[in-house]
Amino acid sequence: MGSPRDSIEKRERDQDWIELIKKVSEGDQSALATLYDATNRLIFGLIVRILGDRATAEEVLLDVYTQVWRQAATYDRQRGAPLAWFMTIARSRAIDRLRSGKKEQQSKEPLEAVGEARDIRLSPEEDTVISERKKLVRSALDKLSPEQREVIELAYYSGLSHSEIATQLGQPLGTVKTRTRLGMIKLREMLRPVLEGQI
Amino acid sequence: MRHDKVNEQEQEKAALYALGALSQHEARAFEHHLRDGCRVCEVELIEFEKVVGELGYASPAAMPPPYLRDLLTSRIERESQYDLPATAFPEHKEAITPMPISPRRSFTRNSLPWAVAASLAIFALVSLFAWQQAARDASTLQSELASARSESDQLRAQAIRENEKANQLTEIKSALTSPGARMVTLAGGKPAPASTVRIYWDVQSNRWVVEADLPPPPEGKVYQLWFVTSDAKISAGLIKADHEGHGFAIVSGPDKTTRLAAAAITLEPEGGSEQPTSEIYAVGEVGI
Repeated sequence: MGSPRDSIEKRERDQDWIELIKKVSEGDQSALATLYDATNRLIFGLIVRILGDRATAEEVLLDVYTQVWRQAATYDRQRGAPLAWFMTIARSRAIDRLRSGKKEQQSKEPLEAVGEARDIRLSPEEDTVISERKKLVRSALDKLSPEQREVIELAYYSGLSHSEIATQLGQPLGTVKTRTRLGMIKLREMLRPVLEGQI
Repeated sequence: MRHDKVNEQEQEKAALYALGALSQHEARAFEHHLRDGCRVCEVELIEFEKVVGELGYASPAAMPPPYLRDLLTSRIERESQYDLPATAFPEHKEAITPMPISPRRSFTRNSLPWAVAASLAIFALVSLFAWQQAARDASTLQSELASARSESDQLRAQAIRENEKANQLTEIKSALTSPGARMVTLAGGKPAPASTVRIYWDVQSNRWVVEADLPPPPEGKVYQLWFVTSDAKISAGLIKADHEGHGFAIVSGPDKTTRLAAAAITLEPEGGSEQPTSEIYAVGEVGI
């Protein structure tokens, strides 16, 4: 877990980003540039992870920040932190791209295989807070049972529905639903300090 | 149906909905349930959505190519042209600088009628300006077209002249390079002392190539060349001069039996005369 200093830093950073998103909503391109510089590696990494194809990921990355530009006014801090909003947009765009006929390019690598070892160094803007958050989330995922983690990752990175996951894993639908529910409850508990802004 | 407390089934739906893993039909049904005002499920969903929002951190970071930033810059610039005035996309990693901001959506209900009126006024002004501009443009275009046509006509006339001159030079060269060639020069007479006429005589073919610089002939008049003997003036042919008085003609040379003393040019009525009717404009000895 992060230190109290990290927590303060994180909250301050979130507040900075909320201010930037507000400026973007008012048409400030420099604010968007700052957000891009601070987050592009994190967002690009997520998109590459979902698509398994850098060329397509590049297109999606542009789409993500264009959507941020267009929809900054709709950002609701009550529904999640600024970076979570970015990642939600990124995931949604990437999965849309996957579903539009690019499923064959989908990466089949498990999360561990593309984890810490291949993580590139983050930019100074992204460094401290994001690195800390990455450790927390990975640590939480590591504490799930492999079965729970598997269904959550299939849903998150592949955009598969519960019935598709059941088919892919050869498991009963009810089992998939239960594993998903239990896994998500565990994650919620482990990440609660983060979600409540304590970290 | 609203719930008083969380049950497993609804919790499952909220978790799957947050992950986007419900079927479309199930998702619509769950949304309908939320719209019915089930606060318990709503809170559950918000918490699971926050969890999903964090999962992206588990992905390894990856470096996008630097040119993407430029592409994004130009895309946003394009969007801004059609959407809102905006501050410039700065160079890489420039510090955040608060800048005056023009609101993207600034219309309020109260300002709408004024805005519509202003828009109509602006539209009318723009239309008037555009019409005037179009009229000016059309006039300018017509003028430019006329000018271009005139220029084109001048160029065409010049090309014809150049072509004629080239043909004349070819004829002169042909005459001068023929075996035994001669040149006869006529000097200007009293009505046109500055005139000069050169006759390039192709002896072998017995033809005269005449090049004359005379006063421009009056309307209905033409220059006529004469073989002058001791007792007669024999028409050699007409010399048509242009508006600058430049004339060129190829005529047959004097018969071998003619004892030619000189060549002379007079100004005659169009079609020529049997005998000279005017003063001599140019004359020169031939001396056969």
